[in-house]
Amino acid sequence: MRKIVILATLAGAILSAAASAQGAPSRFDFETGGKLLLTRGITEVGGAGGGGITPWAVITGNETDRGIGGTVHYTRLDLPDFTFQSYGAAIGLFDRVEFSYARQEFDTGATGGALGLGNGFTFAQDIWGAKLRVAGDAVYGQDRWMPQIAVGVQYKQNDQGAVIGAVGGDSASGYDLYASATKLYLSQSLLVNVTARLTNANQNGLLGFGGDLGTDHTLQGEVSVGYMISRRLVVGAEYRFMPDNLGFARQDDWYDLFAAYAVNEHLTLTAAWADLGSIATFGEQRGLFLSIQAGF
Amino acid sequence: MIRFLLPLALAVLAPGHASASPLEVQVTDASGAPLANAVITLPAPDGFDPERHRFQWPMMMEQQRLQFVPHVLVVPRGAQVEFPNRDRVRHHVYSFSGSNAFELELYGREEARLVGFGHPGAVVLGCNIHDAMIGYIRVVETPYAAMTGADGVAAIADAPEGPLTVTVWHPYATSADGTATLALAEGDSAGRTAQISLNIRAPR
Amino acid sequence: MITLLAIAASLALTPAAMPTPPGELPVDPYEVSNSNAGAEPLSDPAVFEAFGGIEGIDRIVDDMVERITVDPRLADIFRASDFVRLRRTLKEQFCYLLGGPCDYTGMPMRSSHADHGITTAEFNALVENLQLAMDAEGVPFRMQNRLLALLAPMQRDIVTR
Ligand code: HEM
Repeated sequence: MRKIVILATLAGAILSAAASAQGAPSRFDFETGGKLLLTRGITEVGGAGGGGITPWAVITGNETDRGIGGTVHYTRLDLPDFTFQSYGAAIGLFDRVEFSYARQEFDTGATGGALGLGNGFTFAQDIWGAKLRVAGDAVYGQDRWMPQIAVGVQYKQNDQGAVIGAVGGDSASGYDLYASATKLYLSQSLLVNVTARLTNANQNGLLGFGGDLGTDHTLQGEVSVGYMISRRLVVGAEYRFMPDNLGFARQDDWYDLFAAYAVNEHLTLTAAWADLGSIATFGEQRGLFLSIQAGF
Repeated sequence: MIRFLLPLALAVLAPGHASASPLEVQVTDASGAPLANAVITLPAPDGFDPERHRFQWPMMMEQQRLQFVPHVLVVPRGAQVEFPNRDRVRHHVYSFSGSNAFELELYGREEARLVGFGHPGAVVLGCNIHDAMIGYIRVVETPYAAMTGADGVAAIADAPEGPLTVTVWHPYATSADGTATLALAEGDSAGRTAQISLNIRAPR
Repeated sequence: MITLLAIAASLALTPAAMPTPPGELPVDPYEVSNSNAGAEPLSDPAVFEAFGGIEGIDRIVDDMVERITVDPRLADIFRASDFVRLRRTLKEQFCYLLGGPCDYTGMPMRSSHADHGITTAEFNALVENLQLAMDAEGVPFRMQNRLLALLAPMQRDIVTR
């Protein structure tokens, strides 16, 4: 019998299967879903995943670190002299990054006439947001003091530049930078979020950015506290400090009392009593805040 | 090893095979160390239908202790391969290898599913649950196929006479298709007792 | 006979090895310790009471195990499980963590889950089934959260994918 020795110079032959042309097949799969009810938060008026009026460190969508998710929202706030609406969409990637868009419309109704703007005059702005989760885990880090922390930016473009200039506003566009810390205190059934925001926005940007009293960004605090009544229902309160840059109209802090209910993993309904204080010289702007958020 | 010796023994015992004789091939790596799990094949005879062929080893790729067993399985084109899970954890076996790509849902212990391999070539197996699990199925279109054991030796009991091209495939080969070939002249085949030593360089 | 003696001797030499309880499949030897339970037990007796004591915990675990075996998100993972052992060790673990008069004799969370390739979504799916089982037992939500607060950090040991 012949014996043939094949010296297979299969160079670097047995280095590693993974490194070779026929190595481990790689796989790029996106899952959807997987978060526990309510842990994606709702959508705040600026479009980011959060509470009602302030971003949280949670990433929107039901996805986990293995997938993608997204949400759409519509929020309406009926105030004595104005109507506020916000609608938009956001995506969450790998429970790590969030991109959002929201459009805010502030309808002055008959008040517009009184202000000399014309009945039904509407301030509107587009808000583009990005948020990156940088540390901690709000849900699983129960044995650690470290909250979940995210940093974000919101770029806002108001489409009423002329009027904003006329009332003393410095610019029709601007940006906010924020850092949020969210923590679930499960053994107390409590949820706490603290956000620090660098902003020069007047009424969130609806009355422009900066003004005759100041143009610089200032640091503003925002706090949300929620108590979980069940897997589906959380009630709580929020407070948001506001800068005061416009001479013609004092700006008050915002606050609300809310109840958010997860109908199922896709749909969350929120009702709140919100008080935005004085807006454009019209005081005591408080009313019913209703928000619907759908997502996957 | 037994699986290689068995056909050898059968061939020796079958005197009817006048035009066939045993062929033994040793595969080593560049440093001369024996290379296990290399698959050698010879061209098929005219009219050979791989779909109807049966090798002597089971068409089975087990998952055991978080590994594919065997590491390399040789099957004829068209074979239906079983994938029994001997572990108590789920596996999610898949391959992205061209037209042999497939995916098996998660399953529990002892459950077997059949996967057909309709195209010749190398199929790389992975497990979606266990990244470290890698196995290979070599789909061939010839009855003349054998795999090297730990000693780097593979034997084909009934290799045909005449000039032959031996193809060797190894999962870790760096050549584009993982193969190298060796031409045996008419004379080599005739002189079956001669010991021939050959170097094969990986094609670039 | 000699083989049997050899096996017995090797078992005796492994201090941690427990005899396989009846009806259970053998497992690789491991060090038995309450620290395998993965968290310090609660000291508030109100929680153990809210769970209905040992009997309540037994019912919750049985109910949860039944739910996960039919939950399409989880069934495959448990297809080859030893449910006799799983029920026993889960009952021990919950009883121990809730401050009950039990010891946990199962494996640590990391090693018992390492090869299962569990994802965060699957972890959460199991938590949902546990929540449903606790609801069925009438455990108040805030008391449920006392247990979940202990289990949540185990996600880091259990989830590997
Ligand atoms: C906080 C959550 C969890 C706890 C407290 C827990 C607890 C346990 C315990 C005590 C055991 C038995 C260990 C032993 O045999 O000694 C076990 C085994 C196991 N667990 Fe978990 N587990 C949790 C989450 C999960 C999740 C999310 C999954 C999968 C989705 C899972 C799948 C399994 C499997 C497959 C076994 C092995 C069962 C067998 O083969 O017998 N576990 N777990």
